[in-house]
Amino acid sequence: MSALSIKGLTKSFGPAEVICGVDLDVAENEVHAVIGPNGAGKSTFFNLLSGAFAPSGGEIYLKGERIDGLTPEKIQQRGLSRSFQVSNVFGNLSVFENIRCACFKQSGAGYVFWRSAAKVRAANQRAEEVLDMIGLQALRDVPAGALPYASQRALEIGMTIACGADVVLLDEPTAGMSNTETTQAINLIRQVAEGRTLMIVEHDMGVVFELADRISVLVYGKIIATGTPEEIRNDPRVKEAYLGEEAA
Amino acid sequence: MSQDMSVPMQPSKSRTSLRGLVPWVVFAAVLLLLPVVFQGNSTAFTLLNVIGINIVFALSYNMLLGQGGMLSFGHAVFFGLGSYAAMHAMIAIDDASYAGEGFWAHVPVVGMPVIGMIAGGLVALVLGWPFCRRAGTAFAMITLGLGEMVAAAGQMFPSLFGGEAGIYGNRMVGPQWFGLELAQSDDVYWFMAFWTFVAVFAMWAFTRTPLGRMSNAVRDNPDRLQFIGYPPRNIRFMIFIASGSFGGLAGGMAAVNYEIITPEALGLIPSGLALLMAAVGGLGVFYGPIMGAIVVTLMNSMLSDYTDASILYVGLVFLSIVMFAPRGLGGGIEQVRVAWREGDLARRLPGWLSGALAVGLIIVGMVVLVEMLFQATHGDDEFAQVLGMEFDAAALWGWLTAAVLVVLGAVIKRATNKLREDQA
Repeated sequence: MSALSIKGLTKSFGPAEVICGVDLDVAENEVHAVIGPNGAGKSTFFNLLSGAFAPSGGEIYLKGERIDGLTPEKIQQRGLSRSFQVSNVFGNLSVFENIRCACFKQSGAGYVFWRSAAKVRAANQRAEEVLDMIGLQALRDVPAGALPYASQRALEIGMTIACGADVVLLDEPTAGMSNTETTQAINLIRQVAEGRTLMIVEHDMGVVFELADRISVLVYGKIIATGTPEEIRNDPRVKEAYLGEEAA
Repeated sequence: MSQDMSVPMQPSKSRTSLRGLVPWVVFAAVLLLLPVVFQGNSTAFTLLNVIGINIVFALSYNMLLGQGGMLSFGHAVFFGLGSYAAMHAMIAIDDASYAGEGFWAHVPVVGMPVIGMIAGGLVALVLGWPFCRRAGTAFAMITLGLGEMVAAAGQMFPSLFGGEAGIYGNRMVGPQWFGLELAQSDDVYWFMAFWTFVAVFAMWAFTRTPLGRMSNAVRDNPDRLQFIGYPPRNIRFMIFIASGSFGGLAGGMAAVNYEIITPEALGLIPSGLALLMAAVGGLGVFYGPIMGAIVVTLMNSMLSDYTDASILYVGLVFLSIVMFAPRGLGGGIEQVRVAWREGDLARRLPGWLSGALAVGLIIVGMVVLVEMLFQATHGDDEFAQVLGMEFDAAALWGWLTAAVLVVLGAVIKRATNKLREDQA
């Protein structure tokens, strides 16, 4: 069964149709990149999948279960979580606290007011693991809002996986990073991809071709091609619609 | 992994928990020592009891605003209804103990804050859900409406609320616990001290629970909260109930203290008082509202002995805190503490001190001005007194002094701002 299955997905804002009939299947444990020129509807596409917007039409299935039209928290509970293009963290909470809050769902502890948060063992343990993984142990007590940009991006990814989702959407995880930072981010994303299904929106073609098993090209709300990096590189339509434009 | 980590961390953990105990030991010691200091001074005890109530009230308000990011103008609804519930319970105890039988005959008056807490929590549970959809302006407006509505309802149902005169009870009824007769204010003090300590500790403990952390998360970024699996509305609703419960607890304390409650206690003025106390003390620090409650209560009750314009001065203090120290008294202390820890205090202290001096001068200048205006308009034959100096509204030099003080303060403030910019 595919991890994510999208059928005839559309989204209109008033008269403007931004997503016009997207069909896509993402296999389990696949790393699937969505690329496309600015304004192609990539972010809208992610917002539809994660429930930030309700679709105008079409169906979305997460591991066989229909999720279109559900609220973000319902979709998250079914195992899909996402990161954000613009860092979207709890600014006054410490790095550790940000991650731990994201871990509460799995332990079902978010509403607990009769026990100390330090005693929710599973959440604390998981938070430590995620902190190790994203390499922010040294900055664990810093307020998230005061983190340097690249670390905030790493925290963003950490929070996304801390919720225990097995389908993860990353929205431009390396945007605005230096080369070294990008390399680190790629390593982190590789780790994240282990045992998970990953969808990435990304502008950096180097990152995309390095990470992705398959790539979909989204242009004006339609997927014009889906295939392996090699196929996409050689696809004349893609060259014309997207890579050609970039080069020109 | 946790196995490896927990072994070496054990000693440091127990050390920190011991250190965490210090504030509570100090708090308890202060509560125990106050009666020794003020022995025989019933005015002081009356004031202390009000401070206790206000500490709990301000902290419960800060659960909403400081921790959950929900600006409420209707918090007194929970305080007031908690107080009414406790008062009705006290009346029931009175009646039952007169008859000598029934459930209420066995309920002690010292337990009234529990009644208040249940009432406050229930009211929040029943009313809160529609309010918690949004924070921000929508929430503020709705709570404002709620406050006015409940206050109006208080006038409409005299059998329950006693009309304008309110309802009153007697705290010296029912079974006595811990030998507390509750006759005099120094006896009531022990009741207050106990409940203040319990409530403060409970609200502090709440901040350490998962829900307490999630309430900070919903304050910082409600949208993101959805994507880690929690609807912001549910979290807000639970904070609302918790805050309402503790507001009701403060109301229960008030019922025992005053033995009277009027519908006014439900309205905008006490709601504003909660906001005032929390903001003066600082929303971002747990102990901030405690300081705010102490300062504002003292100002409210003591200033009126010295001047007719006391309410105006409370407003003035509120204004200057919001403008010059937006993080409140507690925030200021935390700032100094952080600077001290980082060895940065010597460098930053001059800026802070001159800033404080500037604000002080401006305030004194304003006070001189206000006192003289009062004298001029009321035609008092007494002189306006400020800090032991006497000013005469008919003479020019008084007005000049006021102007000079304010201008001097403003100049120093400007210089301070420059100094801080250079340092930054």
